[in-house]
Amino acid sequence: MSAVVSNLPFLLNGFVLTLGYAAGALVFSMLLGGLLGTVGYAVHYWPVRWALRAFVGLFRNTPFIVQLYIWFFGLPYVGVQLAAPVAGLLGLGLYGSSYVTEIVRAGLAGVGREQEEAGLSLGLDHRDVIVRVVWPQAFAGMVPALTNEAVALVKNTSMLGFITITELTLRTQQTISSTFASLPLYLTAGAMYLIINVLLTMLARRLEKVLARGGRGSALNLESRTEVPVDA
Amino acid sequence: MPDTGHGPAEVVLDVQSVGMTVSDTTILSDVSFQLERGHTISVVGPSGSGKSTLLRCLNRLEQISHGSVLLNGVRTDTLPAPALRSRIGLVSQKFALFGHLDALANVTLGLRRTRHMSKHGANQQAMQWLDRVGLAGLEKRRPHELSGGQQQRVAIARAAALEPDVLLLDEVTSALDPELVEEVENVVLGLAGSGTSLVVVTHEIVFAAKVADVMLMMEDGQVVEVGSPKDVLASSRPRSQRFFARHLRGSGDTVSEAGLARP
Repeated sequence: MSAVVSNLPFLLNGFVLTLGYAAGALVFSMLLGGLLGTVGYAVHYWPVRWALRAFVGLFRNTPFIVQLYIWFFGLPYVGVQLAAPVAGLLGLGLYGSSYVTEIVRAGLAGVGREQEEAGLSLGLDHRDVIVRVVWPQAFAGMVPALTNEAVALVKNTSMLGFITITELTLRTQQTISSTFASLPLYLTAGAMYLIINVLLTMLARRLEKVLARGGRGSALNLESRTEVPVDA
Repeated sequence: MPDTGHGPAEVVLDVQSVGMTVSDTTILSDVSFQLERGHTISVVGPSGSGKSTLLRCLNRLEQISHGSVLLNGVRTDTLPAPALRSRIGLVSQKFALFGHLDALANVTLGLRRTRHMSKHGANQQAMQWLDRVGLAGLEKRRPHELSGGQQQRVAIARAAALEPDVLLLDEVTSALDPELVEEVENVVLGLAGSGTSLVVVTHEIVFAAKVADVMLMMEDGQVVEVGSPKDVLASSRPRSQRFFARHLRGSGDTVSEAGLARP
């Protein structure tokens, strides 16, 4: 335990760095994924749809660590050297965005065509329908999946050490190499990740409850149409 | 016929030889009719005959393949779709109220965004319409806190509050439990009686006859009967007779009772 206590400030600095990268990448992912998911839902022009499909397919179907290596160690091969923090944020952000894009696109589509058409039938333009009708109702349904993505993103920051960023996991390994107290130090690092993600999940649950009280997401629960069969 | 104060034969909606074809399948074929201001046309016919598609073509949720639709003498394909849709309202069989908004906000959204009314003005107009459809006092309820009939009445108020030139009602009672049908029908009868120009698609033949000045029957995407409800219901065409007989048998009415003109 003394290895943990004596190195706690060093580890906590790594913890703060991890928090910073997680927060930055979360904002990056939510903004880019939110935008691309909305475009994927609203734009039916095939080149745009194909480009989005390619983006999601590329970033979602390759390992995060490979992407990270490409940003940091691969790009210098073509003369582009990204600083480690830039490569880290870009890597985490783009990887997360590919998931968020699909979560948002599917969430918006889940609200249903009837809601969209009801908005259009009032004379609202497409932008108004998406902003004022579809998004507010879709958001509550997206929260659990977005929370999963945020939790995954926090855990993925542990790979930033591979590109020299001295986040929590790398600092833990550095401390172990000098103290050999592997179990207490790994348990301490694990507890720190756990604290972030438990807090994140609790916040998301609270948000879900607030949104449910506001009636958001109820369009998803509309009863299916009762067709009256009539034949000549 | 109601006295609309706009002269006896001012055509508000002129549908001229409208057709719609999707992948070589004809959905609508050569549909023509005229709606006079303040009058009501009811559209009846078997499922799949193109009634709902016709309404969706009139407010351009679907594109027509040929023919033209004129609103107050202006071709609707020359108007921006949002502007057109705020002049030709549509209420669908699914109420499609916005679940995140209360009844009042459901009605004010269109007033604020398409009529650009102030919040106060929109609230006042929305309250008047909610009162008119019998929902005064329920304006703060969210859709899931309302019955099916109440939800459909909010949907009608939401479309009617924009005071469109024409209001299209697409089987507004078909998703309701039988005991809730009458309250919605009464709202529609009230609208028709107050001079709103309506096109009403319905499976309720008695209601179709009661509410309309002109009844139109469709089959296979075509208009096969048009005239006063009494004349259409008295048609000698065998398929029409079978259709009316089958539907009136279910409601316990007879053709002659159903054919009574609107009071």
